[in-house]
Order: sequence, then C-alpha cells, then structure tokens
Amino acid sequence: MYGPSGYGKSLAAAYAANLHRAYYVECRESWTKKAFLVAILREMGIIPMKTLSEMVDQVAEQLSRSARPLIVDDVQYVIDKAAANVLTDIYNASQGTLILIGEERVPTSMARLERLHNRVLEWVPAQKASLNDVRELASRSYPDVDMDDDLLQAVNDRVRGCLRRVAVNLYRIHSEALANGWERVDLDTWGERTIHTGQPPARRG
Amino acid sequence: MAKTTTRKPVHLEAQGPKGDRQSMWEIMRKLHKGGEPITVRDVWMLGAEWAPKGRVRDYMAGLVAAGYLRPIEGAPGPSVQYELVKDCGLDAPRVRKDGTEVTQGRGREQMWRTIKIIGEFTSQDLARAASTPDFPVAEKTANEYCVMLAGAGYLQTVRAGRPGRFARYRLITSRWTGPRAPMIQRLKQVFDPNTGEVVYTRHGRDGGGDA
Repeated sequence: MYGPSGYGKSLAAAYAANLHRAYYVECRESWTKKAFLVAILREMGIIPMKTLSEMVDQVAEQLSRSARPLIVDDVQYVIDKAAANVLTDIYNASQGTLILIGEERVPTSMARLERLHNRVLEWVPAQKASLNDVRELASRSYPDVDMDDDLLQAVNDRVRGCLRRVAVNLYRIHSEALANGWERVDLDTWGERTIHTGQPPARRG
Repeated sequence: MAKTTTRKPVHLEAQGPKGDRQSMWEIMRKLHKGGEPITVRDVWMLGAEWAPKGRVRDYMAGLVAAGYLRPIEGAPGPSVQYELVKDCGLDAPRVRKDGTEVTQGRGREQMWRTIKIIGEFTSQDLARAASTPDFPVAEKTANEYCVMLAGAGYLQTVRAGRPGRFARYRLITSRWTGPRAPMIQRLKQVFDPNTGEVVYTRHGRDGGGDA
C-alpha cells in the first residue's frame, strides 16, 4: 500500500494488524540489514541468533509457522538500500504474507528491485478522503456540533483529501463552534475564517 | 543456488521470563525437533517442574483437543507418547483444557500493538483504532490503560488532559520492552511480562473512586 502521508495508511495498518495479529515494524532511515532483522525479531519476541542468514531463517520460520502476516511501514527508508534484499529473502524463505506500506514514490523505487517487484501480489494506493469519509469523521468525533456538507466539502477540497489535515480543521471548527455557541456550522457561518492547509500564512501588509 | 536443500534448523527462543504455557511449549518444540516423543513427564521435568504436574497434563489435553498434539498409537512404555502435528511457531497456543482458545487479554494486546503504530493519540483515538469487530475496546478501558502506562513511564504525556479535553500521549520508543502487553493487575500495579517486573504501583488514591 502506498500513498502520501496523512492519508491514514498507518491507521489502516493498525486495524489490519489487530485483525490478523500481524507483526509490525516501522523502518527508519538509518537502518542497516542487521538493524532491520533485529527489529523484526524484537517485534516477534525472539532472541536473535548471531549471523544475518540465521536471523533471516528465524524470521522466516516464525512467519510461516505462525501464519501471521508481517507489516513493514515506511518501507521507503529501506527500499533504496541493501536491506531491501532482506525482504526478498524473508519472503522466499517463508512464503508468508508481507505487507509493505510506503510513500507515493515506493512503486517507482521498487521497480529497480526486479526480484522484489515482481513478487508483489497487489498494489493498493491509499485513497483521498471523500466527502462521506469526512462527514463520518465529523459526526463520530464531534456529535454535538452539526457541520454542514458545504463546509466539509470546502475543507476537504482545500487540504486535497488529506485526512490528517481534515481532522485538524474539524477540531478547529469544533472549538470555534463551542466558543460561539453554534450548534450548526455551514460555510456562511464559518465565513472568512481560514482553513488550515499546512501552508504557513502569507505575509501581510 | 540450491534453495531447497535442507536448512539447518533454527532455534526460536522467546526473550524474557516465560510463563508456564510458554516454557512447556518450548520444551515440546525442542523434543519434537530432536525427534523424540513428547510425554507429560518429560515436559513437566524439563520445562515446568515448579508447577503441579496436573497443570502440564491439563495444558497438553487442551493441545490435543485443539489439534496441536496427537497421541502416537502403539507406542511402547507405560505413559502416553505424543507427537507435535501443528507447530505454530514460537508463541505457545493459549488453550483451555477443552481445547478452546483463551481470548482474555486480546483487547490489551491490541492496544499495545496499536500504541506502537499510531504515534500521538488520545485514549479515545486509541479505543477506536485498537477495536476490532470481535474484540472491541471500550474508551474507559483505553483511558485506564493510558493512565497506568503513562505512570509506568511507557507513555509520554504530550498534552495534559483537563475537563473537557483528553490528554494526548505518545509511546516512548526506547521503553518498548517487547511484544507482550504490560498488564494492569488487580492491585493497581503494572506488570511487564517482557521483563517479568512490576514497573509501577499507583499510590495515593486510597479508598478507590475518583480522587
């Protein structure tokens, strides 16, 4: 699964991980092959053996025996490095389910790793938030304030479907509504107030 | 590149102290790997001598009922010999004597896993993200878990709560001790099964109730 940050990839990962009792590791920029393997074994609660190939075997054995999937988040950090080959090794040795989550450019970077790329079963792009998603989020998070569709649509357009920024804006709308005693907010009520897009405000004056 | 040649068997050993199920299970896997039959007596002597033998017998009965173990037919000797027919890896299956799965603690397991994944969160966020259709997590449970984990120093309080506003927490990465979720014990203390230590006891709220 790939997509820009803030689209809810990690939340989706959390849900999937809980449903299937998956192992989950989040990659870091500085990781070597060894750091990567040790992190996975730590997540599994297994004492690492000495050599890299033994560690790969340990991971693979546990994956195939337990039939639990392995979710690797922020995979873009290791995909350009030797650690990517470790993923191929683990997959080959276990035939287990690996779920790779990364940023938008991951499919392109992975195309260079032919061995790994052609083993991908399915590419899933993270979806932009739809008006339905935003409406759902608003009514679940803030049931006490009724936010009108036109306002929600405006918010969603401004942040280009980034759910994390939608959440920030809903929070602001809610606080503003409480402060002013509104029970219902639409685009007119909101008026000239800004919508947070992550851009620093333009200099005025 | 001969990929299919027999690999040297790897050894999977759990970190930290083991509960009795875990140590019995590891002995069974070890016997199985060594090509030896599994008997109640061996498992008890090698892996659970501190426990009453009945506990070993019950656990193994549960494993048979759940299809992990099978008695070897026609084996010589006075005691029943078993073989491991379903090896699910390192983690000991949590089964009762009748073979049904023990699901107590699944909510807690889900919260612990989710905390690592979602970054900054309120207890409300945590309850939502950690819930699955089969094992929903109540906001109240999530809140108590957060408070206790923060007290034990696993979570950092990013923004303190106040009436009408939830506190926000974040996992202190270096304090992630392992995959097994810390438990809240009845004495209002936090026990970490990864290290086998009681890491936090809540004081100062004698008499129960909300302060």
